[in-house]
Amino acid sequence: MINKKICMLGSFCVGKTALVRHYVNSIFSDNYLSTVGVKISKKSIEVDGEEINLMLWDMEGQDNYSMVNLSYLRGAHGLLFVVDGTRGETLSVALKLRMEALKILGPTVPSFFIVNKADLEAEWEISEKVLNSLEAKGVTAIKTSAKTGLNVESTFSRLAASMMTSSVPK
Amino acid sequence: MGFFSRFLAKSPKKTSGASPEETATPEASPTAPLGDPPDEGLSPDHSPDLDQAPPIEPPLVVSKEAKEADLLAALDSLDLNQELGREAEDIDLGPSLDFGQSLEEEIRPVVELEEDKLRKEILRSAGVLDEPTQIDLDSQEIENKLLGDLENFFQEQSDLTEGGAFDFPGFSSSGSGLTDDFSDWENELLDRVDDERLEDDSPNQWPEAPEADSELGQVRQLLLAREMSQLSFLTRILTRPSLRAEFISRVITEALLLRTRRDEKLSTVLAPTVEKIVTAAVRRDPETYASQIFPAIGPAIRRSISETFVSKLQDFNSTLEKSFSLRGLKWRLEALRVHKPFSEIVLLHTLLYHVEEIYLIHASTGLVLDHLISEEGGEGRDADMVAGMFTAIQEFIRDSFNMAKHESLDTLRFGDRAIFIRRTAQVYLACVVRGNPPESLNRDLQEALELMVVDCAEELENFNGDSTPFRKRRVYFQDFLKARYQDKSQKISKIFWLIPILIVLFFFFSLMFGRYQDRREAEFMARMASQRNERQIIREKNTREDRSRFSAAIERINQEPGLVVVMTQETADGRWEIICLRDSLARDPEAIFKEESQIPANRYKLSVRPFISLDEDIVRRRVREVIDPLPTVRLSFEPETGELTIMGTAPLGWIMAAKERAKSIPGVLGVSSENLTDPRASEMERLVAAINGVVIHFPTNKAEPIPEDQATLVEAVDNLVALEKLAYEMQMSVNLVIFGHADSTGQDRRNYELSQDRTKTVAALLYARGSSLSISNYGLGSQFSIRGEDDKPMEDADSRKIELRVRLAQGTFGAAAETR
Repeated sequence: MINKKICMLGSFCVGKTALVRHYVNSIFSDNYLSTVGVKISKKSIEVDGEEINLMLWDMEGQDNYSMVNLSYLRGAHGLLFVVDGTRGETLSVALKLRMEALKILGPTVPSFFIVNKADLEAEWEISEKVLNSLEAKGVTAIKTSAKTGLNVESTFSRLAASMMTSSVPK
Repeated sequence: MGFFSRFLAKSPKKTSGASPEETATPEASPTAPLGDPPDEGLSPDHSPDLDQAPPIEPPLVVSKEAKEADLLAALDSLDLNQELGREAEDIDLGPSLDFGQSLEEEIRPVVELEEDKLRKEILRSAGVLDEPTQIDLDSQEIENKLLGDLENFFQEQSDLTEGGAFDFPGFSSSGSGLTDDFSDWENELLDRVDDERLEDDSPNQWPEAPEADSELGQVRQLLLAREMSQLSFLTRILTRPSLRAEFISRVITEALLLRTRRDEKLSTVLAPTVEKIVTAAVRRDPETYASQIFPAIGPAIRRSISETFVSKLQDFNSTLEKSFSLRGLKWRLEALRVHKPFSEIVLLHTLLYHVEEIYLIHASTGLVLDHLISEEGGEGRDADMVAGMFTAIQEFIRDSFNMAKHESLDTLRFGDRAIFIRRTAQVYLACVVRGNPPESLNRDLQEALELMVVDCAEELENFNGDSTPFRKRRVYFQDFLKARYQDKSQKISKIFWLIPILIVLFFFFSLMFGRYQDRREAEFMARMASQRNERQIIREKNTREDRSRFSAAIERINQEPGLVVVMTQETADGRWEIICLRDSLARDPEAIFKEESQIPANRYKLSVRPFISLDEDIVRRRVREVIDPLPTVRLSFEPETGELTIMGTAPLGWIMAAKERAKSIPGVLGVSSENLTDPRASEMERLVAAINGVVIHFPTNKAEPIPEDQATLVEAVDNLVALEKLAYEMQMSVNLVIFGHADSTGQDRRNYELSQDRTKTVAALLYARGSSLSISNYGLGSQFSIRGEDDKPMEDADSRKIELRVRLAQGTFGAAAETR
């Protein structure tokens, strides 16, 4: 059995918990988020015929990148940075969070940017140009919607796959 | 948010690889506002300052385009960021090592001071400082050149030492010659430098002295020959690794000592290295390591353990040696059998426990490596999520309570269960234990864990989420889950062993008990016998004569109506006890008893309970009491049928009240009052009968009676007046009801009026005679008149009439008694 730890980071109200809720069921209540600062959920998926347990560490929203409880990041195999497409500043926060996280976990940890709220794309501040530029830097950004479920399932699958191919043991 | 704010104080990290600019810039502060000027840190040649790189504009005011531009700009610096991230990863020194900045601050003054001193020294020896006018033309040029060289030197020095501060003993003194201040080892080093120089084929890295034939070269040679050789010497020390090592080795202990005195950073920096060394050593040969440290800590541990045990055993001894129970006895026997102190056996039995679950958890990721469940204690919870959250909570506790690195959560208790946590650097065990485990369990768990960690060090090192290899190491922990079974089987064996003892005990006790029973019985018999004797003696006190008088008295009481003796008893001391029921109308039983038995009052006790007797005499008394007959009235009661007959004459009011009361007398089942009359009542009855038959007719459409009925009307009024008078005497009230009718011809309304008016003729006559009768008159119109064919109205003499009715009522009692 392969277990993988995935941390989800991002500003407040970008939809981290909604994404996780859309994807899995947890035995813990959302209260853990505000008290302990993290809530753990589990999802079993299959990658190349092998079953993988994804342990999703849904972390409390972080608007100030220095306020992340960095110890929760320890040992993460994959990272998801959640951005609210309608609020450009959440991308900046996510970029800073990424810096902090990569300092701890090393630069090769698979990480995706999730640009959430695709159902409101008309109101987006993050343009296609910005996303392309992000892609050009080697950062995978995926448009999702926790509301409609767009790309949610596939994002986790993609992350799982890239974690499995990631050769660096950590 | 409390621990987050504490976290703020530690973060962000500063690494030794960070450039001085970064550490010195104010934006590097962790609390830097989000609204930094957007153009900061955008130029490509700007230092890769991660804190500055992605700018965040103040919200609201910035346009969408501006935001986009900012985001793009932020992305531009991403490559550098990633680069830095990699670098930071490589030389990460931990979050609290504010290394670069402080070092920079410390070095700078030292370097500046040294630079200044050296400069002055050189200038003084060249005579520039003392007599600046003597070297008029070239002095400035020389100085510049020298300063340039010095610049180069320090540049080289800082390059070589990577910014580290080295205190050169020779330079720190302001003596005229470096060599003069060198101690022996330094001179030795100097010699070695000379040797090296001879062997050295490579060109001197120090800028060669200018050609001797050039004028400037000569001047330089003249002025600075000694200093140049000194510089050359130092350069060699710094550039040749072997010499540098030699140089540093001379001062390293002193440097370490000085540094340790100054602050704690050295230990912080060295700790990871030392840990690694120790870990490696332990992994290579745990046995050796253990044996080496055992002499130091072994005795201390032994003493601590023995002290704990002694105090525990003393406690148990004092409290349990006094207690004596079946279980205690069992344990005592066991202690005798196995030749161990009783207290130890008690300890063994009271510390029963059961390890229900064991989680083997990877420390940093919180992923479950293995989860073992005891057959009895397994609960269907999700081990992965529980372990993850458990890890998170430990981190949370560590952050919230500022725990030191070596401190950790050891035990969680809830109800009769506890979670014991044993850990190594990479993994930890969380054991859910029910009951009261001995301290040795923790030790054993730790041992097992450490053995396992050594066994799968490689897998742990390369752990990538695959828990399969660890499942194979289950054997290390499986025995802990089985502990309870062994305990059970032990129990059974003990029970088997106890059976013969119990049998022997049973026989012994039954024997003892039998003897005890016999004795008890004998005692009992003796007591009974003595009691019997006693009673006989008392009985003899009551003579036969007494007893017969007593019986006669009881008999007499029982004959008395309304008295029933329900219990008599002769007590052991010869006293009589009598319980008697008494109707409230019966005689006093005590008086009868006293009179009949002649027994003095102190020899008996008569208790009376009230009741209602249906004895005929009592019923007669009760009837007499309740009815309270007038002298003209006679009562007779037939006990067989319960019929009460009231005869004679009495006022009607009394008669009626008496009849009512008679019905409620207990024992009276029926009341007959046919022969009870009021002499006036017959007259009244006659009058009532006469009045009630009266019908007076009227001519058509008239309220005056027809002449034939005038006499009837007058007679009726006479009767009414007489009735009223009699009723008044007999305290009764008379109510006259007059119904008026009209025939069916004419309008209904008129007929109602007419019928009403006809009733009033009687009332008018009565009032004229001074009567105050209560009259109810109802004009009924033609409702009851005869109608012709097809319901047509018709003239009918018989329908034009009034009818009289009289009602008598008992004035005082109000109960309606209608008499016709």
